[in-house]
Amino acid sequence: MGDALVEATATAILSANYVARRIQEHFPVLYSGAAGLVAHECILDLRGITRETGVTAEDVAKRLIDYGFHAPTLSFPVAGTLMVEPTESESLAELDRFCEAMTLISSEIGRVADGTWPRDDNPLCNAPHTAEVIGGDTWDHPYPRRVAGWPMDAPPHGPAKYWPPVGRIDGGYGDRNLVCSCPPVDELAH
Amino acid sequence: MKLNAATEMIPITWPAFSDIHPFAPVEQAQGYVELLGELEAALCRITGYDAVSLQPNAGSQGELAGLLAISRYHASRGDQERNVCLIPDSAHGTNAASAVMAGMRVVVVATDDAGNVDLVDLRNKATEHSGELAAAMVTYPSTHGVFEEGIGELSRIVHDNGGQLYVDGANLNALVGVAKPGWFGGDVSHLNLHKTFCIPHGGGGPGVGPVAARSHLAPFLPGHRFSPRDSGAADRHHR
Repeated sequence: MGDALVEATATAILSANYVARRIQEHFPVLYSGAAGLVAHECILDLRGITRETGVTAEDVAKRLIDYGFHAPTLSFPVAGTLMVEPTESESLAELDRFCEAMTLISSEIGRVADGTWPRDDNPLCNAPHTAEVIGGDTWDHPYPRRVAGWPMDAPPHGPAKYWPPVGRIDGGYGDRNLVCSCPPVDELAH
Repeated sequence: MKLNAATEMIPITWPAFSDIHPFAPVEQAQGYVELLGELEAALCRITGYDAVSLQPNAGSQGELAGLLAISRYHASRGDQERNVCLIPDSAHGTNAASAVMAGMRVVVVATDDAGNVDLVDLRNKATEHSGELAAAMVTYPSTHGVFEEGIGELSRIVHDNGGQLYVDGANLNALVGVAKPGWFGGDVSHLNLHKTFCIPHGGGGPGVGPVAARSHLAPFLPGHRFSPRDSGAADRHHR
């Protein structure tokens, strides 16, 4: 078997442990083995934070979009948590950027906890912020537009920043109220 | 998430790969035969199993095929009553769904405080259903992101009670080149190659969710009646 495959496996495991070790002071890692290590993925437990501050795992997942990340797995296999599986695909620079974003999000949660930002109007519960919202004529949130849209002074927060097309949606409602987007049969008939 | 780069997707659009008719005469498909043979042999080396079927188009289909292989194996030995499948409560929902589709009865096994399969509960359930135990399905490393140290003991408990061990290959990315399910107790596994390597997701295809098994289950893996190379799956042993 190729050495490169072994290296890919080792890198996937190392990457997950690197992320777990760097983030665990802000977000507890739910499970680890007897030696304190995780496998190739780790579960970040948001449930205690949610109880104390009202900030949910979904809030963090959506806020990561403002930071330029696709969120990790949300609420699987444990509800109220995030499961991070970096694999061997991500560079160290990207892992560092993710850890830095999670650290900054942790400090944002701290500002909700200490009352600086209200529980129902903060960058987390309002995430993700669309260009339309940030560029609007009015802005009446207790945090600046820059914090909303450019929370991290690192790439790709220049011209390459990803802008979500929609803000927060009610995922649970969407799951229970399916809308068929197919054209009616009449339109398909010849 | 694994980065499935465009450069890795492009080759499947090449006419040489994508334009062959599924029932082209086998003598016109020698390149395919060689390609599939090499892939099967490589997957056997990676997993420690003896045979691979590339028929399933996605991991979910691979699960169903693997569980059906277990059912048919039991039936071939006159053990038709073996239809209980033990599944930890941490498992991906697909596991239970596949077991039900395969005609099995799901019995849920608890998780201990450390997130591992509760071996005491597993032993109790396996013993309780000893006469009707078909299989246990576990993911290794677990969906909780841990290499469960009890996997060897778990395998012994299941086998001692007449069951087969289905190791969900969803987390094979953490094993390739380091450990082999076929060597630490698994009898059959499906592989989610979009997570292990960089193939397209099976849901939208084109994909493959290979199912790999030890030799005693090989005759019950899916093949194709019109394919001479699949006429005797049990003969396809690679180590």
